[in-house]
Amino acid sequence: MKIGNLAPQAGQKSYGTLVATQTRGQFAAEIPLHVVRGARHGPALVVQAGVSGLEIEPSMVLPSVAEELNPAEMSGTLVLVPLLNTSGFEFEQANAIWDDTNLHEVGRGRADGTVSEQLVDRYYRDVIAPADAVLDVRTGAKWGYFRYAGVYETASQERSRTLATALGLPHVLLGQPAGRTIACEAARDGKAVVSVWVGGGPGLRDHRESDLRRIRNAVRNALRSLGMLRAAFEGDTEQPMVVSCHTVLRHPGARGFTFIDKSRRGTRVDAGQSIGQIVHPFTGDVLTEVKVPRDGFMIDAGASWPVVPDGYPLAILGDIVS
Amino acid sequence: MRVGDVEAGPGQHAYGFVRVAAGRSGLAADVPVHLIAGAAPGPVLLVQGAVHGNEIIASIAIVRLARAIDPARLRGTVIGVPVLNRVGFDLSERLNRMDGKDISTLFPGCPSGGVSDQIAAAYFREVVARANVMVELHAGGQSGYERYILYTADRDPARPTEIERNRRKLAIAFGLDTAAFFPQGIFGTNASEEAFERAGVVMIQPEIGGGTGWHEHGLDSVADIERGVRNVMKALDMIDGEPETDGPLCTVYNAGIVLWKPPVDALFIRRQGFGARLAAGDLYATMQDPYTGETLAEIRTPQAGIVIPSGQEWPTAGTTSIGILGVVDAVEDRRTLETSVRFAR
Repeated sequence: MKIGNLAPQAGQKSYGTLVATQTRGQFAAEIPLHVVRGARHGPALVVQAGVSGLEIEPSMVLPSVAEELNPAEMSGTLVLVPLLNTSGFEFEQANAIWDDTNLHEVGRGRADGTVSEQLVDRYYRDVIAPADAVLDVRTGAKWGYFRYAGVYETASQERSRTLATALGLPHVLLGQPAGRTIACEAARDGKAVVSVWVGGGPGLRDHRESDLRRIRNAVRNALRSLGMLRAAFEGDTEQPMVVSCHTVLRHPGARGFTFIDKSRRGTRVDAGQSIGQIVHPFTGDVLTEVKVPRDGFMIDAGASWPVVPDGYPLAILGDIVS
Repeated sequence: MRVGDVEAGPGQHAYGFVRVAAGRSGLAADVPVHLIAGAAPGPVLLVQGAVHGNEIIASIAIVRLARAIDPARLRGTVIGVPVLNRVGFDLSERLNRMDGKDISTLFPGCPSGGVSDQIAAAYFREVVARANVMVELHAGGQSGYERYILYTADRDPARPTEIERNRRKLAIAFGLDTAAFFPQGIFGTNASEEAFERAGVVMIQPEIGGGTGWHEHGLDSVADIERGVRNVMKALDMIDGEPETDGPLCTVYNAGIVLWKPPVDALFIRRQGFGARLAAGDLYATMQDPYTGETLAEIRTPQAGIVIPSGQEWPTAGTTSIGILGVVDAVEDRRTLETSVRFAR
């Protein structure tokens, strides 16, 4: 096998970069990655994080996850990308800097497209296409706080659900909103795909260590679930609450301070119930109540910081499946 | 009392905007003001938030305070400014993007300068100069969490001026268990602080809350600010009541150890929490390669000190300090310390 400048042999692990293209200033648009190739044949798992340049906490732990693994004791191949959007990280923004593009919105890229499209195209062809399963590690960036595993509603949903259930997170969300993310494209291609939503800036101070442990455990539990690693389960629960998504509440139009009642997360809420308010930032007047359109279970996800970008999810609700 | 175009008679609460400069497109970042004029005479207290546009905890608290203060029971005047830097607030940025400047450093401003200088000049003239006391509230933005009160160090600690004595009193009266001052010159000359002093304004800077602690402590931070401002009002005899504080003791730190980003940049990982007692050479943080996990640099303390409740937590190091340590200057006991402050004008 060969990915970028990496060609690890069976039973070896290596670290290198996948160079996709050059910018006009001749910077390399590249993706650093680890490959851990097990001694025995088996599935290929990709773990990617930092597709947004503001979802960077997973990179605090993912390199050590690769280091911890002994390829001689593994089957199959793990490709681990701790922080995909290097330019977003450099310039501290969600989008790639070269063309101000959200790498979650270019599908599987284009070979003749912009820098970001070329980057994703090369990555998709060389890394995602050969994989059997993908973990897309996400966070709430600087605005929200999350703790669940999300599955797209595609033909591979059942296999994705099996994988999601094994990760050790408290909630599994079926039918998470589809889009033009790399992960969603992979799910459409029939791979087992889980979005691992853990952490976010507003919880960083109090939950950093436990969330980094959750990410580490999720990767190891995925390897275990796919038969790539013999290891004991480590995580919050082996029996997560599985919820079928029916509502993602987003900004209702009025802007100001957004206060969401986080104590409702992890509970059932009723249609019409207020779970938050948008408040005028200078007068304190309540501009609008954030109300739940139908009964549902509110998973542990959504905005926390009171100033959130338009379109950011305020809350996610669904029906309990199991 | 009149502030800009906002006017309130005794026992009234008025809300409006103070006109400041407009940008090249005509965008006018006029400053929202609550003017709460007490039924009885007394000092003028300015409570100001979001001069750094991403430090918004105080904005929430100031609005709540403005709605809760009863002008009929108030002695003196409260000027509440929830957001001074409106453009920064809208863009969730520390500075004013209209010209990239930090308004907090520009007082008394310059009417013929750039937009931020003009904003500072109009605001200083119409608002700051009318106050006896200014509570300038800061926070950790989205990248940190803080909980202490800062005030300017005395020029000559052996012979403090009246303004210096009063700001230390009010800093302690605010009610937190931690106060700190930076030794003169540690951040260079602060023209704004000198301008406040020349205008006779006693200025204190609570640093409370921030994005990384919001999920668990956000509303606690808001409550801390509300409580602290009320305590200042009690110390100024603007309202009745006993102060509510963290406890009787307030540790005052000489915060002379400021840690900055090392020459190498990478993933910033803070290793020490609030109150950690560090010896010289102890590890404060590391810069880690985000792709390999390799430690690229270690940030160690140059001298022994205690970590002030402050500093960067988000895993990138910005342009501001990433940690502040101090040594104990004094432990003040509010049971015996006189914290009341009175003004002739």
